[in-house]
Amino acid sequence: MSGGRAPLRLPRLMARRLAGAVGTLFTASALLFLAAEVLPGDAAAASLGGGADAGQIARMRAELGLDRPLVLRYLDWVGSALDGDLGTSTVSHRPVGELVTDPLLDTLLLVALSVLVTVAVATSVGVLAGLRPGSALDWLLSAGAVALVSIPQFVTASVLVLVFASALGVLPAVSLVPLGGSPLDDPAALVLPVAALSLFSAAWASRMVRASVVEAGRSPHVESARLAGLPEHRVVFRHLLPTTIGPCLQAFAWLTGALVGGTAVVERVFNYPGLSAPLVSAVVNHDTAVLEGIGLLLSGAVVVSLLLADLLDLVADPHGSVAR
Amino acid sequence: MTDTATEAPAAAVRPSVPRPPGPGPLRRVLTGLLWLPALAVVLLAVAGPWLVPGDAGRIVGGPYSPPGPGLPLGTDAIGRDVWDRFLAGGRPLVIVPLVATVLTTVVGTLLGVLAGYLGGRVAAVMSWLDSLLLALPPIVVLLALLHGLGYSAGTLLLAVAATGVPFVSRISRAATTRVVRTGYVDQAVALGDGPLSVVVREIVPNILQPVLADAGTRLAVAIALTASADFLGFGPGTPSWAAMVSENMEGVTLVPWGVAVPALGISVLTVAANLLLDRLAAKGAS
Repeated sequence: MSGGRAPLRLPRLMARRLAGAVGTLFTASALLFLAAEVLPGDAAAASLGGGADAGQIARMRAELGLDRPLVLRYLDWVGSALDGDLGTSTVSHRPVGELVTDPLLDTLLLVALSVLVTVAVATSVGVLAGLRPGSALDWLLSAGAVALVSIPQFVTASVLVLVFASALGVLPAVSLVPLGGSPLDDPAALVLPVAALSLFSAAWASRMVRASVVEAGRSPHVESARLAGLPEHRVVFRHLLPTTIGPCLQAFAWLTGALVGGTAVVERVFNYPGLSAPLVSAVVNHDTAVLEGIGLLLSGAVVVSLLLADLLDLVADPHGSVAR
Repeated sequence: MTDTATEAPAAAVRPSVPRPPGPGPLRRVLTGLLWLPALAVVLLAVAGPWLVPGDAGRIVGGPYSPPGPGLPLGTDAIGRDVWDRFLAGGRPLVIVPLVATVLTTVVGTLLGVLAGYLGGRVAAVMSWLDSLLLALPPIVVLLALLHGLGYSAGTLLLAVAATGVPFVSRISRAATTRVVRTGYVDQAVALGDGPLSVVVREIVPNILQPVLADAGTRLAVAIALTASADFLGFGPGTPSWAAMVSENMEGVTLVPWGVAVPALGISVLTVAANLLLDRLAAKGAS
């Protein structure tokens, strides 16, 4: 505070982060809109098919409103999105909101279950490895984590299908959910998708947990607790682990965002009824409105997770944040 | 075993001094052994297409034929030779990701060094741009670009770079700020060095280690993104390991190796990419 500025209070800092997140979401949505609308792939030409002539395309463009200035179209789109209207699919002519609601809920269910599993697994593995850095156990867990983080998720998912559905035959390989049903109707079908997502994210998060446990283990206050002759379990549970909670929560919040954006490929392996199918078919069919709608929802979820991570960081360590 | 031997007294005494880094003999031997299959797979991926006798797309037998003479891995759903397709399908996962990673690392490092060296407004704008790109999930960026530009190696390069540059520039910016604070830079400037010479001679050599260590992750992510695009059906249309996993998934109970072999290839490739650059970074540090 040598600059003579009064230290900011926590609520004000939090409000600032919130405003930052809103700004990020707006600009990210503009980038998304630009990528979807400006790049050559044209919705009008696509919805007419290959045989359309220039006149037909021009009429279609006018009908779809594609001939209006880009800025106006963007503002229109964002304005309606704020009202809960994500536009209309150029392929099925149904409202995007209606098309994506059920898949979004199914994807969020998958994410929520994966986050739960990830937190449990990553915390235990990270703490086990981090309490004895350099040990054989630490090396084994770390090597496993590096491998799982490197391997693409659809490969992990396919190997799980190969082992548990095909070779052992103990779990279903695909999520056959009847139209209008929920994946919860058949919990066994959720096991492999959740496992595939969690293996990757738990491997990643366990590295974060390990790093912060190792760091806490070397901190002066843990040292002095040990020197004071406290029993080891007391040192670990009362002095070491509590200091790691802040950074770990932050890593988990960040991870939730990564999971929201990362389910698409895993869903595809299991034919899971999430956002993957509409997202991929929107790209195949040049259905710009659906692509933009899903992209907006997904980046919204990521921004919220990142904001949560930021706020947790602030609450855990308000002074550090001011200094930054 | 030596690892467990050093572990026992450590548990009793609990030294709080950080253990000297450096792997034990067991770990060295194990990592040494890991390199053999890794090298073999990389070689196979690059040279594979030359080893295929004919066209890997031709039909050589009935659907899902079991392995037999001349067909080491049997056939896929439409009767194509799985082994031939495996040989032909590794290269797309090596060349494009490698080029994309070099591009991402160079661009990200340049931006990060610029921001870290200049500081102030430039750094603030750059960090805002990074947070912006991090808010868009990589798969959304990839699909939006595929939607607009269609599939090409260039689209993939762009997608990998757009999603990777923020990570690289964050790391190199932080490392540059650290170097600038150590005083090397002030000293070099005092001795009359120009900005370019400061960047090339003082900053870049000192930030190389974290940047290289991260490049391993970037390469693994680039391979994963390329493979994911292919897996989702946006690929070159020629045989590829990722597309094979997807194509052969349906017949996985009949021809499990149609999924297992390419999946293993991708796994070894990505893990090797990550470990190799980690190793390079560690070498560079010592």
